[in-house]
Amino acid sequence: MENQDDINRKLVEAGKDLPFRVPRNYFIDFPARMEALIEGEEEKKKGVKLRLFDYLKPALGIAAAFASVFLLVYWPIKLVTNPALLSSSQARESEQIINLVEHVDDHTFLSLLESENKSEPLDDEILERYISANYSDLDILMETHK
Amino acid sequence: MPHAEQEIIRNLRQESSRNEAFKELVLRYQERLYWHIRKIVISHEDADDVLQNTLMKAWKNIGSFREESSLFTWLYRIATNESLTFINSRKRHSLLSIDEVNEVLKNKLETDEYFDGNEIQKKLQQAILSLPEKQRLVFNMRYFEEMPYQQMSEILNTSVGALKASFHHATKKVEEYISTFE
Repeated sequence: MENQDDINRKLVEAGKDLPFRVPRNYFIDFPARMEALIEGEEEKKKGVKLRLFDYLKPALGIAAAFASVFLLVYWPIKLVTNPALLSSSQARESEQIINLVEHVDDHTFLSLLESENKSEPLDDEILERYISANYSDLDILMETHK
Repeated sequence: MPHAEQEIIRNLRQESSRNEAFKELVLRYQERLYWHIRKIVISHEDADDVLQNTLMKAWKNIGSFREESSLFTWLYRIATNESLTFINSRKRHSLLSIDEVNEVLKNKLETDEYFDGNEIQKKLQQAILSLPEKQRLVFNMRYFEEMPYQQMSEILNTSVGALKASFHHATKKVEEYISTFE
């Protein structure tokens, strides 16, 4: 094995410069190549997005057609041929009223019924105002002399 | 982080100035990245492919760059990973062992039309190619680029002490290899 001085001499001779070179104008042309590569990649990305929509378009069209048929044809026909669907909505309304009444306690319910049956006693003044507003003097005269 | 780098990053993150900023990034770093890659993969064609992959990856992932390191360190890390991935994929595809891969790289050195060194330079490159992967990276970065250990530590994600030890072992092996050359 050689001594350290010889090794050092050889390393100095080899130098620290890399013994490689590149094709002529490589570093001048590279940025443009890289730019083209990135543009291609961006186009590809856009293409993928477009293709995805293209794939979905027929499916979306069919789904929309089915929805339209259902709303415009199927549902009205079903309503006509099956009146139970209509009556079922009426039944739902009565059910709602029953539910409402069920939430009112007995005492409140009875007092409500009583208040409807109660009639205010008519005094002469009220009666006089009603007759003068709704009947003419002639009518009153004819009625009293029957 | 240098002001110019901050401006490039800011512009890269804006849709309107992204393309121009990337052109600037390529112009600024292409040569240093290329030579770093070339030392690992040896042939010009492979270095060209790996450089393109590196910059494409940077373009796609600039949004996830968290500025914990400098832009240059981040790019260097991508370039190192891409170069090693490239070599390892070759290894997998052709079912080669590490030694066989090193032999393939040495053969490339012999046949590379863009190698224009003298015999002692070729011998030095062969010596470097006989090193284990990590030692080879460390030797190249320290010997040729004279990169500070701290920066190497950030790029290779290895402690400074471990890097110094790797460089020491690598130097000994290279010297031993060189000593056999008449």
